[in-house]
Amino acid sequence: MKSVRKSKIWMLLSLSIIVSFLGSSLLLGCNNTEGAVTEESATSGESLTKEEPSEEASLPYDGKELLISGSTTLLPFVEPAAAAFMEEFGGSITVNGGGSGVGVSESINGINDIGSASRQAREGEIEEATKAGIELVEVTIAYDGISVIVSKNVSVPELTIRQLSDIFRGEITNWNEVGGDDAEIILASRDSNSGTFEYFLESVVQIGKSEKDNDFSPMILSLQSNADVVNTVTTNDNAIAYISLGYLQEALDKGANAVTVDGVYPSVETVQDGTYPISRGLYNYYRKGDLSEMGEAYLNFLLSDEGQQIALDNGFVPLNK
Amino acid sequence: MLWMEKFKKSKFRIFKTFLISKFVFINGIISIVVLGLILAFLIYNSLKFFSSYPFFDFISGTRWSPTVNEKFGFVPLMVGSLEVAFGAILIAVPLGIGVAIYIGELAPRLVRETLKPIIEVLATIPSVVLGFIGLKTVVPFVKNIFSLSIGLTALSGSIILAFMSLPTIISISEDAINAVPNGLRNASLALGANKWETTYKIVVPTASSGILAAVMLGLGRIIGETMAVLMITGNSPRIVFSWLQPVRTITATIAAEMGETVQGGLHYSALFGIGLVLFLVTFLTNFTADRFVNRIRNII
Repeated sequence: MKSVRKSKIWMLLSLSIIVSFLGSSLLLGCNNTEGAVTEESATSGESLTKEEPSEEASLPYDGKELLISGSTTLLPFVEPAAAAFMEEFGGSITVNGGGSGVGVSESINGINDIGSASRQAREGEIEEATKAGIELVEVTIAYDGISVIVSKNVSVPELTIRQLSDIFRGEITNWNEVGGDDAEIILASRDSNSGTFEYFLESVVQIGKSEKDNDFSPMILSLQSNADVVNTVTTNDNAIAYISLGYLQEALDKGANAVTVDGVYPSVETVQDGTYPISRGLYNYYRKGDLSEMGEAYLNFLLSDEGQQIALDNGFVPLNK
Repeated sequence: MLWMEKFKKSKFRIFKTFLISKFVFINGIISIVVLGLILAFLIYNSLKFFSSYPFFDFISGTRWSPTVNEKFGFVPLMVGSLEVAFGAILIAVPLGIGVAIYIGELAPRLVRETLKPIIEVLATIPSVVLGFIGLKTVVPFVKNIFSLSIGLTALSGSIILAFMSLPTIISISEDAINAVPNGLRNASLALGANKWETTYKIVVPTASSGILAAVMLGLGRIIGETMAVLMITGNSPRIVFSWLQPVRTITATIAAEMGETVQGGLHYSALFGIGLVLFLVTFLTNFTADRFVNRIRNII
């Protein structure tokens, strides 16, 4: 008896849910179809004037597709650049994140058309590519500085590379050892997927690869994106982290402080003239002989003045011309 | 003529039964085959790691640092996973069993019949959503209440995972409590025991194997959960025995690092290796739980 009653109630419940879903989706559906109908009639009306279709046909890459994946650091540059390219030349460009490692490995495995990376391809990856009979072509598309940010309450204005290395290796654990208050240092880092992680490891923690056994402290928080890092530093006290220059303005707006490294403040100018010590190239990779015409046009667009302006507008450092 | 038609019909029916039973049989076999293939895939991909990396260094290594010097110490991940899971069980079990007893024994019919479906619907909330909610609510809460410098801790993960496992624990425990024969309750009441004594001396002990199964299934979900812990435990591969510090779990490590690895490399293989360990742990938990579930079926 009990089970019968139960199943009845279940049926009623699920029925009512289904009905409400159906009802709402029907309503939405109606709206949608109405919208679609009006749009269609509008376009068909315009097509009579014969202006729309000719304009659309003038875009050279309509119907073509390009898949870009990789560095999340590069997203603020790649996404608007792709949008600008599509507006100007048509076609459809899909931009995925995933990290520099994903960008390179998907290029090797033939999944994407262009892989973006905020570091150079590693030896292991190049080996993997040659094993698969593929030659990766590297294009430097911009430069980036890595800025060091600290929480609002931290009053340390400058650090040296050596101090940063000691801090991120866990040798220095208290802010008073570098001239701050007596408080434990919270280390925020990216996960090892990130090109920024890799670059910071080599250039800062390992002091430009001169101390190759240096490793991040196990106390680091591994966060999933630059935005996560900014969020963690701005919502907590006593934290230090490194982020791409492209995210610095957002971090400052949210209340973080930037630290000068070896006495130089991170900015587009100091990266471009080479005085800021933690800067790197940003790269795109494609398989040799496997880049479509559209892909080539896209890369040329990135390197053009217009593309480099987009890089500058989004906090990256344009290539020196 | 009529009997011939009847004969044909029955023959057709026998054939139909034969077909359907074979179809069902194949479906059943497929799930076993798929499970076997998954296991084989895990073993195959982790072979390179286990054959080239010293097993003792893996199982007793205290440092997980795949990018520098390729150190694959399992202890920090193990401690992280166990810590988060243990905390979640500590929170979820008393709460879950309490709710199950309320629904099964005390609640008026109307309350029971609305509450249980609602709790079961809770189980369908995607873990990434719970992770996000946890990031915005539990993490600052834990940070403020213990005045920590950072709220991304094992405890935050435990709280969210406890919520995630509650529907499983409540629903199955309540089934077990419901399955206790009324005769036992009546006999207990007739002997002069009050409602409370009947509940905790007769009903709960009788349903205990079912409740244990519920806890084990909840534990299986907790250990295997990825997205939420990735978002709110801080992923710091340190070895700590405190709930108020960031930890890194096995699942989060796989999810965070898989994208970067060179396919076929040692790191890639190592991630499959810890995946294999994880698979074995959750498989054993669910297997044990299943044994207990069968035991209640046998009682009834």
